[in-house]
Amino acid sequence: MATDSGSQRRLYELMVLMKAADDRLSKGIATGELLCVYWPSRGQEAIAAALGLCLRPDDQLLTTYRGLHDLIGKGVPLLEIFGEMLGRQVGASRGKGGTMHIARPESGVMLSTGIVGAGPPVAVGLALAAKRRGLDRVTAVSFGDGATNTGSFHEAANMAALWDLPVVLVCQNNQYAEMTPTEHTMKVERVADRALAYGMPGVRVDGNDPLAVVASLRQALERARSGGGPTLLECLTFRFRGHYFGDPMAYIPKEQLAAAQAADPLPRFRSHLTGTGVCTEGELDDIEAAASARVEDALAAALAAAPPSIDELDSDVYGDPTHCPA
Amino acid sequence: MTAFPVRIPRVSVAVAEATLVALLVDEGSQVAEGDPLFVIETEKVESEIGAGASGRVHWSGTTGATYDIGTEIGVIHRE
Ligand SMILES: Cc1ncc(C[n+]2csc(CCOP(=O)(O)OP(=O)(O)O)c2C)c(N)n1
Ligand SMILES: [Mg+2]
Repeated sequence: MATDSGSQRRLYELMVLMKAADDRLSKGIATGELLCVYWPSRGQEAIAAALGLCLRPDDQLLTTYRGLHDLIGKGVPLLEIFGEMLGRQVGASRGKGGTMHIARPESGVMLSTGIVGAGPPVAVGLALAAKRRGLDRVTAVSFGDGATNTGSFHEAANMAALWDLPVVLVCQNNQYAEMTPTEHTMKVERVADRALAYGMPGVRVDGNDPLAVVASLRQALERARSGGGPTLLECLTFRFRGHYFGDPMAYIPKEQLAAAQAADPLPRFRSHLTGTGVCTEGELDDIEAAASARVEDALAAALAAAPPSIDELDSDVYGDPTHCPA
Repeated sequence: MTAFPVRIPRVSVAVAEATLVALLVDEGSQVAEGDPLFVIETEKVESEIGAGASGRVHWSGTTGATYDIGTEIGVIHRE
């Protein structure tokens, strides 16, 4: 099924918003204006935009510390993301979780985690709950290439397949785990091939092409929703700013980085949209200006907001903080 | 006119402090956003930090001193 022009425009809007947020955070951290930590998603926007377009509001998404793009795609308000990163009460976790711990169940974002490989088992639990309740929601879980080397990934994949759970395992293969390239940690060349061991489809797509991701994701979602079970969707991409913000990236060969930047999903999709007549240059300029303005407004509001009060130290930790052992 | 604080940035995830190695513009001079402003050292790595705003620079930090991340070492007065 081809993606209609309205959806293509929506994909670009999401990708541009993700990039604008990343650019602004990067500028602010680099100059000392913002003192938060950040694991940049610049370069991986096409995957998150496809998830944002294809997931229903009641579908669930789990992500990692490198989750800015995923959170924006699933509709977490920018104010709640920036607020959380900056430790403000307006943050999604009331400013007490930080960059790595953003959840917003109202948007279907159930977990962000800093523990590599921790997302898939939680996704399996959520999908099992949905199945037992007879809901037709799907749980998508996003994680890196490195996460597929953890035991928890393999256990989760096995159970998801065994029980035909409505899960989509979305691997954002950016070719590095911290400073280690995938060929130093995996005998197989394709993460997607790992699906064979569990009896589920494994699909590899160009993760820099939002339309390719959408096409494969739709099939995986349809399969999951209709009781067909999970899919492992490997999206091949790259992270342009290294592991953490400020990473000097000395371990990335210059030619590899240059080639990856030449395949930047944003300019590529922009030329596709103008070349095929889906949008004019002017319309795309407007989308970009609107995204930057939204980012500035949200950041200003987050910076102006108060940090959580000390009275909240124990709230949202235990149901009964007085009688629960600390 | 608004004042943009110049702070020691968090250039890496796990660092708490940085040494101010050099000021790249003179007291009272004009900079444009993005111009190289100062150099810090963390864990034996030097990083050049750009100006976060355009305007006239006034320094309060001293080269050679070590500061906590986030410490204000100057201000840029925007016109
Ligand atoms: C269980 C666990 N082991 C190790 C780490 C340290 N660590 C943090 S990020 C990371 C790399 C993960 O790489 P990948 O899954 O490819 O995700 P990416 O950062 O590339 O998005 C590692 C090893 C961790 N956070 N959790
Ligand atoms: Mg990776």
